[in-house]
Amino acid sequence: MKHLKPVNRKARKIEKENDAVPVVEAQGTIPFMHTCTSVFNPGYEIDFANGMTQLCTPIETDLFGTTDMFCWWPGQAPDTINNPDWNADCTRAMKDWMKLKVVKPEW
Amino acid sequence: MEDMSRASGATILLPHRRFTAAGEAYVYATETGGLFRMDETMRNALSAIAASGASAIPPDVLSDLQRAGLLRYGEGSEPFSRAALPALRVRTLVLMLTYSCNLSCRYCYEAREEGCVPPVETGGTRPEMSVETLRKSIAFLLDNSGENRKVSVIFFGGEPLLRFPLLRAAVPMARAMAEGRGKEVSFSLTTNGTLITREIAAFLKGNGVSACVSIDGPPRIHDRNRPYASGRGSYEDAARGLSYLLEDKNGYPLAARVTLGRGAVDVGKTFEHLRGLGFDEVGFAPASAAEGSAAALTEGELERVMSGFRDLAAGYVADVRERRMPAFSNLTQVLALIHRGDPMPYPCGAGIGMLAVDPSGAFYPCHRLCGVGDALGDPEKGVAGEVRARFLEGARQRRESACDACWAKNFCSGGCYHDAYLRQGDLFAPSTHYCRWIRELFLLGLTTYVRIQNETPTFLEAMFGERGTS
Repeated sequence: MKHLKPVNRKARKIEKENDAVPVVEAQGTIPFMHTCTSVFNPGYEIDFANGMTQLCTPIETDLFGTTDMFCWWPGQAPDTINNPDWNADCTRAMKDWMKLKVVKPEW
Repeated sequence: MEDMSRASGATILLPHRRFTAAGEAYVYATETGGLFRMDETMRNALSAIAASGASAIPPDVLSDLQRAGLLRYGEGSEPFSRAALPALRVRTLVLMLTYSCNLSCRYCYEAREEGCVPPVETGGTRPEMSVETLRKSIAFLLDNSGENRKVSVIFFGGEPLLRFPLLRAAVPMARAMAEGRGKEVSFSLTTNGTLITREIAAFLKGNGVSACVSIDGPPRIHDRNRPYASGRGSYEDAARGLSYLLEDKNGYPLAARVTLGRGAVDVGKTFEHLRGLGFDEVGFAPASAAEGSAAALTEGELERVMSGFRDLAAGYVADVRERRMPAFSNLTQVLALIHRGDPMPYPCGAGIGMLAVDPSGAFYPCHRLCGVGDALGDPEKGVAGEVRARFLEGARQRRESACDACWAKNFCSGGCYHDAYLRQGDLFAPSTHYCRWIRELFLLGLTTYVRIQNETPTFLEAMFGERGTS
């Protein structure tokens, strides 16, 4: 454990047991892999602190908050290098999300 | 919605206690019993989560919180709540040799002031134990101790030394019975000390019967709390009995058990006095008393007791540092619980590892509960499974409903059944009148544990480890 140092015998036992389990380093760079994807928490009902102040919003109401890599469970969105204007007509996602362009592969 | 929340696995901050000691921050995780030192990141994260204002938890902090048992996803109770009731493996048998007593202590629960033992004239149990009942009870203990090779017999009452001939016969008899079954039996006696003669003291020492003497402090306090029926104080006689025990002591341990009643709560002075008399251990307990009783401690007095306990804890740390055996046994018990850290689903061993036999031969969960509720059985028919299950189920439900969210539940598990019975008329009512006090006591235990760990860490493992003495 990184932030907790065991003091009593039980705590030492807990640390020892956990150390025996190999820790797999996260692959890739998406933070919070540990939370949402491992507990299947879509975040609609309650936030991680057991309150409601940090609730996630559906992709329709917070398009730009949920498509970036800092979201617990990022929404699918086209890459902005090959498709720089996929959301050009959608300045206010709640109202304009129907205007998002459909990105299709070309061959 | 409730089901959705469960399925989605809401994050729950589990019961814990954060505290600081010697400038460092610590956390005690109730669900696992682990005690940890926190770094600043953890301290800030935990404060933020507790305040429901955390915006994000870094993964390494989250991982630590989960491992320590501070954070859980989803709902559902702890595994032990669904586990089967603990098997009966009797290790300690309390023998109520008699209900008679030569004293008339003002807080006594034995059919006097607060009374829960039914008096004989109203159809209660026979007040004296027969040799036959004693023999059958010891046989029951030895045959129902499971894999425990060592068992313990406690002579209790009333005043058990009123039946000294019975006690004197019981010791060699139990030893012989134990030997035949490949077991080892130890004995202890809880007495008011007034009847101890040189002969009795020699017998106790010669036969390895340890003594716990009920004594409340200097004469002024003791005589007020523990008079004879005539009103005369019993200090002088108890002190004389004690002096016989102390003659040629030769490693024989002596424990004092102090009952704190209203108007007598100077624990520091009492402790000093009893240490001066030669006691190796001194333990305090507030009198079990009905609400509003003249013996019950007031809120202010409980505060004074705690303040006295804090001073004794400081002395305890100093004793450990100087390699002297500390004598404040309440703290020793709390430190042992903290060190081992095993969550405790029941407040005591009553009905699990401990049984009491009343003078008529009926089993009860403990000595204080003799005559309260249904008997658990007797040495011939054994323990009635359904009565015992009802008792333990009541205790478990109390802990799960009333105490589930409390950080101190591993230490108290709802408190003494008998105390709840006197105060609230229900064995399984949580002892809410003591909640705050008990939490303070355990917090004192946690801070003392940390101080000792920092100063003299070898003490803890030597006392409470696998090969520890306590």
